[in-house]
Amino acid sequence: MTDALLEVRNLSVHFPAAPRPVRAVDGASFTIERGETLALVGESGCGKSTIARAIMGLVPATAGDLRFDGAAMPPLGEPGRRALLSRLQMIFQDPDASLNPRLTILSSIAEPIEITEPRLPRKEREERALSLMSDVGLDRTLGGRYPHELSGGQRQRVCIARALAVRPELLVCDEAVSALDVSIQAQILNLLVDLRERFALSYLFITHDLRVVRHVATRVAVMYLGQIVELGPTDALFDAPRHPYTRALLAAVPSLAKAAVPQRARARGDIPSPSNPPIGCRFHTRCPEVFDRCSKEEPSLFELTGERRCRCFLVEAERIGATNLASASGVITAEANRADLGKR
Amino acid sequence: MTEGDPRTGEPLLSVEALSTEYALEDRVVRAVTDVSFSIARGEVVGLVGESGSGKSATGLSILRLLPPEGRIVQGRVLLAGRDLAAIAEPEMRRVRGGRVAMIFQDPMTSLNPYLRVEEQLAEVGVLHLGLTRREAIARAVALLDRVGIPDARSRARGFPHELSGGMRQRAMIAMALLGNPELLIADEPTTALDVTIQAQILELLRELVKERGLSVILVTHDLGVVAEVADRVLVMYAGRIVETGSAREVLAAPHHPYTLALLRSVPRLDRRATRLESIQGMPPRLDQGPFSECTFAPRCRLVQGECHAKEPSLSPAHVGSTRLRRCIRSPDEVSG
Amino acid sequence: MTASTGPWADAYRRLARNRLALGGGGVVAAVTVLCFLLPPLLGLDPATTNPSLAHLPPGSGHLLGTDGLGRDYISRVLVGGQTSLLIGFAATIASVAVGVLYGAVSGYYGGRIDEVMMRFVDFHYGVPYMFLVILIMLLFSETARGNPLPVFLALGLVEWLTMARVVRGQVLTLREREFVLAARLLGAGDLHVIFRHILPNVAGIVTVYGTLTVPAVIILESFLSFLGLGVKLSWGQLVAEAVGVVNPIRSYWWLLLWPSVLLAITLLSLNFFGDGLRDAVDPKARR
Repeated sequence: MTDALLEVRNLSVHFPAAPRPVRAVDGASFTIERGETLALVGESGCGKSTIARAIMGLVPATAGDLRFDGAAMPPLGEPGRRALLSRLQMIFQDPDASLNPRLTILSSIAEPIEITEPRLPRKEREERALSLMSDVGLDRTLGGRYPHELSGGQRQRVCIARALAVRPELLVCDEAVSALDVSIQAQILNLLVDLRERFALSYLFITHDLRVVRHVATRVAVMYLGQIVELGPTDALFDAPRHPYTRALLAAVPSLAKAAVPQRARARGDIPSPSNPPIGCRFHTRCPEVFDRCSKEEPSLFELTGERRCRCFLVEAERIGATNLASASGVITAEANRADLGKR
Repeated sequence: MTEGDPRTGEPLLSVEALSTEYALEDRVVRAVTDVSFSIARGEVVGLVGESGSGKSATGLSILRLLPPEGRIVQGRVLLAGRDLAAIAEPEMRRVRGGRVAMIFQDPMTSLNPYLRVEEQLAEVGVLHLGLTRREAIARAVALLDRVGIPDARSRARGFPHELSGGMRQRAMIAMALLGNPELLIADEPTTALDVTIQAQILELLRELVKERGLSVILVTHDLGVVAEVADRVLVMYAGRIVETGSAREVLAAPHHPYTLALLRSVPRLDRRATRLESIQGMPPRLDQGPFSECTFAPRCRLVQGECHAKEPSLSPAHVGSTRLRRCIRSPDEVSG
Repeated sequence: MTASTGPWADAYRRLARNRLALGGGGVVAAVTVLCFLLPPLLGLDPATTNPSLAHLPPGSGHLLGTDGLGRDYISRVLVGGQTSLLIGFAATIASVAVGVLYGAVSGYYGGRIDEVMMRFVDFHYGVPYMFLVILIMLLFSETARGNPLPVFLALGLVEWLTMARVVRGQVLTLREREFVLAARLLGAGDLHVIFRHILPNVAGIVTVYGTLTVPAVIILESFLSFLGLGVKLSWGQLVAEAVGVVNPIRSYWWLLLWPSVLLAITLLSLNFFGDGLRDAVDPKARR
């Protein structure tokens, strides 16, 4: 039994729509331990933002179980949520839309304290807010300014300070640095890493940018069309990706230093819509390693090693060493594939 | 000072001392200052910088697509001997979509939602190549097929909203190619796309360059994109070019402190950095008139007294080098 | 380092640069001052009749002439202005108050509540305006006719609809903005969110539309008066009376001219000011 801070078990989030519901998240499971940073990575429609919203209670779960420190996580508005509010907070992508343009930044940062500790005198509240500003690297004199007077990076710092005001244990960062310039992104990433140490925080880091993931996360979950397709420790996953989608993702990142993945591993075609996912393995329509079984059955997330999980028949076949499996159902033998993958 | 073309032959486009200003309600912002470069046939030049660096404004200036408050205040843009900055608008319209085409960042808004895809593309053929509507549509469909849109014939008859983001960007590229341009200006063409789609688009661009000898000015903030696709790179900061050279060389060993800092602030895919280098401070305001010092001086690690005396000029580190930088320090000092 | 500027201060500065808007505001202010201060100061009397002085053209003694009953016209025009302006502003304030509250509740709670509330607004829009007004007027006895109250009610009842719609639209957008989500995630109650976050961000557009409602109300009132359903003394009423004595033999041009001119410049100025306010408050209106 792990001492997990956050436990997500078989989470599904479906949105009603015609003609079929949108299956934004389908059976996702992962945990976040205290002090660790899990990155949820994927492209459009993969469901990572929806998972974040479900965790925060902004969106009800259609199925599955969410637990924070063992406690249930009802949606926002229901009584059980109150106690959790100050334990997990969220930082959004757009620093512009995240701040009330009519409030000074000191007011914005102090607001959480105002809400959770209404009896605290204003002086003390403001002092706490000012101290938070220093914590995130903002000059205290900026307190009287309005959001539009600050740069994007400064605004994001304000958002972080505001989130920290309630002393949370888990911070969900939903594309928190995606809208920032490269050099500012670096500042904010450094800040997040620092704060993690200082305040013993855990992060759920949601992003589409794999480069950022490598820098900031201890573990990574790769998502595609509502499912987790690969999960594991960052370094291991990046150095030796197993799932064809992970490999395609890594191959696609325009990088100064190429990752250890050959060009042929690229994904073909467009990303399907979450309201109409392909039958069988959801990635099979774009997979460079696709074979017969992939279009018929849906693979489940299996345990590759103690810490690695993968959702792929091919990878599963290799691991079991069942060379018959692949060749019986189709085009490519597992051995040929292994040799293929071995080529660098 | 224009950069010499390392290959033999005339440059296709030559930009000389280009400066562009935006007249806002209460101030004038000089978005581009003294930008000079040239591009040869079949060459891909990456124009890289962060927001406010002037990279987009430069691209827009070349095609005179600036908004009403923007105007070119100085310089020449020479295409086959003609100064695009000086010719009359009707003539410029023949150039746009004809010899020089442009594609933009947001594929969602770049196409007219009320027109069928083939109509929009065919328009280019009719206007620039004098084709009949039927011929233009046939050409459009052929190009849509070439850029990788499956089932091009029926897709062309459809509307833009029926295409995904990646497909729309491909359609944009097809539209840009219809007039047989020699130069393509691509302004952040992949920024709004998913990573795997981005890779496909970049590969497509590479293929087209090889096939048609197309020259591309690729405006981007992503150094990785530059590394993947560009032959040469121009690094921009505060509206100026601060470094130029071959992409490989510049990215391996920059000669300007800003380029170096930028490289160090990008997280790497191949290993985890202990700490990302970040550049303290913010870019300077561009509405305060000419600079009396190096624009990067307030944020530069290597700043020294002389940097505050005047703006350095874009010059080679040693005589004969094709790499230029706007810095008084030596390359060894920068990378050391 | 420049002083910190809030969104209001910013808007104020932008407005101050708009000469047309400032001019408009100045004219309205001037007219208001004239109408309210001049009569008591100069002891003007709009009511005393004097048949021997009937239909005198502008001249000494009566700056703007006299009407058919010998009443001093400048007094009538200025005092009439008081009524027109008062009704304009008062009905606007009332309709703004109702409209904002209605729209905010409808937009914030959404779903069923929103549907029902907006259907009611739609229905209201569908009812012919004149029908409503006549109905209201009939509800009041003979003696109450000419009294501002029923007119005020009738006008207020129509204008709040647009305000409600506008506010609801804004609130719907704001509700989904991240800063509202952030507040809710901190446990902020509905009231806190509405008053701290939603309403202040709606205030701008409400001010603008409110300012543009005033001329709309004044014109409606004038129209009512023209039809004989209005108050005893207002610009509209004066115009109606002036039109009533038009004949091919004698022209009493001053009876029509003065109230019309004042009406026109007041309405124009209010519109210029309202436009300027909208440009100043809405940052997206830039460029």
